[in-house]
Amino acid sequence: MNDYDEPDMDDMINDYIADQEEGPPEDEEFDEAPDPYEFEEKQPVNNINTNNNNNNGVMNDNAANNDTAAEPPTSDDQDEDEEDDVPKVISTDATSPVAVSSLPRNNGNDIYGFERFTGVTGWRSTANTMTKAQLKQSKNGATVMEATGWKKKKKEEVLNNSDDISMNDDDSSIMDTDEMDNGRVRSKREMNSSNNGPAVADAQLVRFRERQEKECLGRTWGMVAATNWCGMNEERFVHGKKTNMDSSLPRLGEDSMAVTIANGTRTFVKRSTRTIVGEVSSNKADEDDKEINLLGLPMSELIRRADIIQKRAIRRKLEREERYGKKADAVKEDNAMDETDTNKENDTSEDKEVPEQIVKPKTKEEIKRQLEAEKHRREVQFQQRLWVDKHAPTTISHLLSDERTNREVLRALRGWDPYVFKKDAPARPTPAYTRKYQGQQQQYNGKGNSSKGQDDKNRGKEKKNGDDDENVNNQKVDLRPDERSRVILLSGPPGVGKSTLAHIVCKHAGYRPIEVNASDERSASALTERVTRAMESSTLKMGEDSKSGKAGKPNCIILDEVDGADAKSSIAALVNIVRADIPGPSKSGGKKGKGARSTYLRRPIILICNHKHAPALRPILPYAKQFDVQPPNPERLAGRLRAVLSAERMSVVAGGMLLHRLVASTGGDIRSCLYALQFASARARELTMKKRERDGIQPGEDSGVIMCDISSTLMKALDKSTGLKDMQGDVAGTVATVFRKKKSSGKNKRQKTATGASSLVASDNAVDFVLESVNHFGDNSKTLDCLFMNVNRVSYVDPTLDRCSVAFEWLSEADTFRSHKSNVAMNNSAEHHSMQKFYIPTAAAAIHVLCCVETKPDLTFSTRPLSDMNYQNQANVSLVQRFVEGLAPRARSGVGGGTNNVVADVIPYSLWLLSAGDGKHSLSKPVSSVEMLSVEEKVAFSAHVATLRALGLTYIKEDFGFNNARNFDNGPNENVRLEPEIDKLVKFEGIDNTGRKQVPALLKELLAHGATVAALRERELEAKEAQDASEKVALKKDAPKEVSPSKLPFKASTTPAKSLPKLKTGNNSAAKNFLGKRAAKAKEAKSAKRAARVGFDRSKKTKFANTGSGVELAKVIRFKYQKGFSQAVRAPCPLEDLIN
Amino acid sequence: MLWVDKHRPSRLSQLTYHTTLTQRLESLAADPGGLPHLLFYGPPGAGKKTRIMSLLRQVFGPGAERLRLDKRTFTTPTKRTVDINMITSNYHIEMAPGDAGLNDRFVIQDVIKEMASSKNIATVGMYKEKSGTNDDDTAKNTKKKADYKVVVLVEVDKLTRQAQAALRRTMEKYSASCRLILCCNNPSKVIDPVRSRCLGIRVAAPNVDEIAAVLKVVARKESISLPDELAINISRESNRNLRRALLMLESCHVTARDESPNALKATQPVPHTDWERYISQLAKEIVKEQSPQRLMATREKLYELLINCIPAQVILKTLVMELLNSLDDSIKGEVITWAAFYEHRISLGSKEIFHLEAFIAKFMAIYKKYLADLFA
Repeated sequence: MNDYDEPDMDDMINDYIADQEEGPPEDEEFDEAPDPYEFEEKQPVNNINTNNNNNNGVMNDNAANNDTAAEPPTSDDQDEDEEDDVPKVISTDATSPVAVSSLPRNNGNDIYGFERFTGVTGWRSTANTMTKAQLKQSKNGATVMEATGWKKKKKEEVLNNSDDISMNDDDSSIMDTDEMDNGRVRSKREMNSSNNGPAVADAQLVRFRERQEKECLGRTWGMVAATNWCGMNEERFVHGKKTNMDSSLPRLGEDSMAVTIANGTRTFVKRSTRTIVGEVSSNKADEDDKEINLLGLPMSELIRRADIIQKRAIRRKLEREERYGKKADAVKEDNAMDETDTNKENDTSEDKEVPEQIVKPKTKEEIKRQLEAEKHRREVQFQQRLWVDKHAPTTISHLLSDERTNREVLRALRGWDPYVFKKDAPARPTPAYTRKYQGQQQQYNGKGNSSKGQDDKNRGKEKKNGDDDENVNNQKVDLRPDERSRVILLSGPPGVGKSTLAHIVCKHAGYRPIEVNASDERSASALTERVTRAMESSTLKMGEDSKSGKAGKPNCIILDEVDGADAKSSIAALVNIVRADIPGPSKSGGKKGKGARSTYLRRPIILICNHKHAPALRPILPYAKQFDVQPPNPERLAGRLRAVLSAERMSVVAGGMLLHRLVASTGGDIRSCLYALQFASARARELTMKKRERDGIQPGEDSGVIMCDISSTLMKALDKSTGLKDMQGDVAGTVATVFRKKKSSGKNKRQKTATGASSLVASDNAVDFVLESVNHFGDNSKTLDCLFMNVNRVSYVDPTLDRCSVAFEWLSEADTFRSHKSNVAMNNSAEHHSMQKFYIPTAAAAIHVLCCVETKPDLTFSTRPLSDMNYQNQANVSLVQRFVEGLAPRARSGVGGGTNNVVADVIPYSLWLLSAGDGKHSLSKPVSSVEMLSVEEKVAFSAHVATLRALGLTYIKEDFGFNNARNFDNGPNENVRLEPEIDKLVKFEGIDNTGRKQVPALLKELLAHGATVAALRERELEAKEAQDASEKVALKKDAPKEVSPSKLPFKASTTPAKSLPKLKTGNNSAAKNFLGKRAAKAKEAKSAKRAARVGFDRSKKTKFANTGSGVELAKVIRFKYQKGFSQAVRAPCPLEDLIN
Repeated sequence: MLWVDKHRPSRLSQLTYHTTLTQRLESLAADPGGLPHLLFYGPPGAGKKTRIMSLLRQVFGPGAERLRLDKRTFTTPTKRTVDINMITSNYHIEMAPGDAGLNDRFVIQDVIKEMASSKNIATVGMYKEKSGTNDDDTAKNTKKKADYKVVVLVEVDKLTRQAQAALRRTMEKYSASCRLILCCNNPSKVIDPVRSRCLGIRVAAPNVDEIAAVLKVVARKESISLPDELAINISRESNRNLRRALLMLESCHVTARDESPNALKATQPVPHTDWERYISQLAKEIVKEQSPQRLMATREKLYELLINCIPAQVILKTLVMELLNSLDDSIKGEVITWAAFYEHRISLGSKEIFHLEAFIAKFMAIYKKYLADLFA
């Protein structure tokens, strides 16, 4: 059984690492990889639990499973259990740290080990890291069964697997000539039977692949194909062909692999792995020659490691037997284990039929059901995941982005180490260790991982720096990186893996990434709070950890998508934090900032954006260490895609070419590549299923693992669209498309010469192309504006200007469709939208037909003039508004009615009215006092002041500031201007307004003063009028009846002399009159207080109100004035009710 | 106060021209209860507003002349606040809801409802004064005093369609307590349902003689001697826009202070607005040369005009008028057709400059063709 090896492989990795390195490379994972033994204590509870009654307690099994598992395992169960349980059993071995570590990843993690063996540079550390990551996860996640943890693991596994598989593909499936395949099969068979060295290597490869297929995808596939639990086993073995399960299928428990022979038949190759020890050496030379390229490691090395693992497995098994042997349940289980172990160790192809017979049917059924349910759940869960997540890289060496960038980012992050981790000094590697480590690595890797080594070296160097810093720190110096590189800014196109890079680097450097992306609130305050909290919480944790000796993880904030719309304020807030110095020298040392309330940057921040030159980001640039993340190397990306495909049990027959095409068409966008593949594969899977159904293959009767070939679907997908990635054209591209003649349509050139009409028959092809590209760009309004800006710039042949005018007609037409004023826009927004969608590109196409040119036109892509115009227009509109508001009410109703009139007539002529004029009555004499003016001039002066008042204008002295040179050049004239400066509105370039003479500045000041005085006088007059009126009213004490309040105000104030005598006077008391007045007054007065002040009877000198109004206290009537523009209806009521 | 406002007639009886119209209005005012919704339309400076105010004065008495400014803030359902300036008296509200831009609908709904929710204070007065009315001025009016308020909406043609649609029902629903007087330049921009609910009153632009007569009256009131030639000249230059004519007259008065401040010379040049001169300059350029380069240059000028808040329709109209001066009759028709076409487009479209420039391009093409035909 393949699975038997899993624990081995896990162990293999771990042990090997342990052997080689005697502990985790702490410089890398000092935080992530605490001593494996450390959580040994934590785990056992869990593990032992599962162990005790396990058998089928897979990492994701539930309680029910455990219950049933308590039953003595049947042979059939054993099979299953062997697959799934063995790893667990081993992992549950609490004594072995390595086993513990293997527990969580249980399935397929061994692949990492294999990756290591492939000798690809960097895998070594990968595996290493992985292990530790696993450890960490298991530690963090407390229970392995946590769904998230599981997911994570899955992801890691699959991803790592995928790389592995790609290697496999390279050697087996890709060079899939018949002979090759057959030969391989044959040779494998031979190898298997003879148990020779090469067979081992090959077998291992096969095995890994098999296992990983099973682990990663078997479930997925099983959903479709397998109806019974046994299918789970079988599906791995039964491929493609309808076969007799008993005979031609590999027997259960047999180690075998599926091989496709050229004619498409799947056969199964028995495989044995026993031979690991010893025999290899004989074939070693051959092996090296043959396989070194594939594996990158000498086979002997592989074998040696396998050997170690094997031994260890045995040892562990023995230990376990010792420990659990007493328990009755455990005995059987151990028997099973024994069996499996034996299987594994001896590589026998012993079948499991005997144990199968022992199975208690009931238990079997139960287990079957449970497992099926469980399987189904997992399948669904698994299948629903996006490949992008599933296959996301988990370690720094898995990243597809440029290694150099990765390294640099990491180094930049490490720049924080002295500050953040100084408390963790013991956990950090010494330079000596680093050297040793490197030595080991060299020895281990043969060639060694140069980048890694360099990284380590760098780190060592930095470490030294850190030490220096720490020393300096004792002298209270800021340990943080230089202000210029305090935050890290990653920029690059979408889908190149910036976020992934940030996360992984964070983890790698020992931080806990805290991501703040566009989905979170990122207002300045929210962000500040978040950042502060993140920094502070980690501080506390660090402190605690430093005591307990456990490494807590400091936070590292990742601000994703910072160039979003709302970034401006938050970036400003961020800059403040970044710039802030550590408050006091006392706080900079020791436990940093425990008492510090103020916010300063205590943890690294990684910013991620698409365009680092986005205006919003400008403030932070000086403080950021900037990295451009470039799209990955196409080769690498294609390779990775292939690996992913293999992991997903998909194959691409056309091989790399198709993938390269995909990569090219997406422009190196990893994400969209994966989406495309997932899409294509889903389709392919569907097709395959259908085909199988057609062929009469029952889904249940054979396995779910089908290798689908997605090449056809992928090809279709690639062909259908010009690019899978949206042709996200920019303005430039789109507009250029419109104006540039397509090369293919060259023959139209001849037609074009004749008349405009004939040229209208441009090739449909070109029109389609333009339509498409405009549609792709999407922002129709912008396109339209750009076209408008460029129509005149392009020098197409147009002697009659017909084309030009028609083009403009199109533009004009299109403009009406984006407006919201049309009937359609009003009534049917959906229709309006679709019209917009349709007509604007059409206009572009029309312009293409009319105006396209052969040569590259000189185009502008800025619609700045339009927006500028809009902006300035807005400013002027508000200026007009101000002017209108300043007008006196009557003027406003008359002259100020309608903006059009104001702008077209009133303002221009106002300026004429305010000009100096000619002749001796002109106001052209610069005098400093009104007295110096002649009589005529005084008349003109007062007329001018009156005009100013009528228009609500005045002159104000403009403060240019002393450093403005204009002051001296243009004389003082410039200084005094109209307020509001409506003269701005009548300035047109090239129009001289010399006919309109300016009033000298000195005089302007006088005029302004005059206007002020006039205004005051007016106000006074008004007040006096009001008072007069009220007094007059008061005089008419014996007015017989109250006056209609509505009538009064007009009469009282506008023409007091005339109207007052006409007031109704009756036999009513003064109070009544007063009230009448009062009621009217209330309408215009803005405060009741002021109204109250206008007394009704000043002659009586008795007791006065304390308002100082002189109103008799007894007669003061208070009422509330309800503000509002319209007068509420007041019900008529006798005055007597109000008085007294 | 500017002469325009100072000498604005405030009563129907003082109106000088359009006497038949004045009579109609007087008969309307005589029975205020039967006053329908009104839609005044006509070119700018024809006297629409003056007639509206005079009518109100006639209906409500002098109280309608007592104006005050009011600034109201409306909150739209989208929580946007809109400030609207309005001029109010006790009897009416005058406002330009078009200032609210796209939110004018809410302004209209709010204001009309608010107006309609309270009765006119005049009715209160009527109730009170029922017994002892013997005063000459009031006696005449009170008996027929309207018991509604009036909402004067200016620039109705600038209203969005939603706002106009919002008017429809409210006009009927609240007609008991609230009458609408709409005022616009172009009734074709008012939707049919609204037009149908209004009595349309067209105020044509006064002809040159009428304007000259008004000018003479104003001059006399200001005790200025205005030569007939200058009066005619001004009224010609004013494009039959009385407001402008009066402003011109006043400008003439200000600028010509040579000998005596109160005597204007017949040869006095009439000042023009800068933007008109600018447009005529533009027109000359267009006629002089037709090329894409020239088109580019005109764009700059159009920008400038638009920036200075000159309405696109006004620009187009003025430009066409200037162009027509230098055109042969044979193509005038076509040019005007296209001008009308693009004016319509302006009112439909979102960016005015597109249509202005499209018109100029079209004109250039037409003119070029005309020239080509002429010489070939």
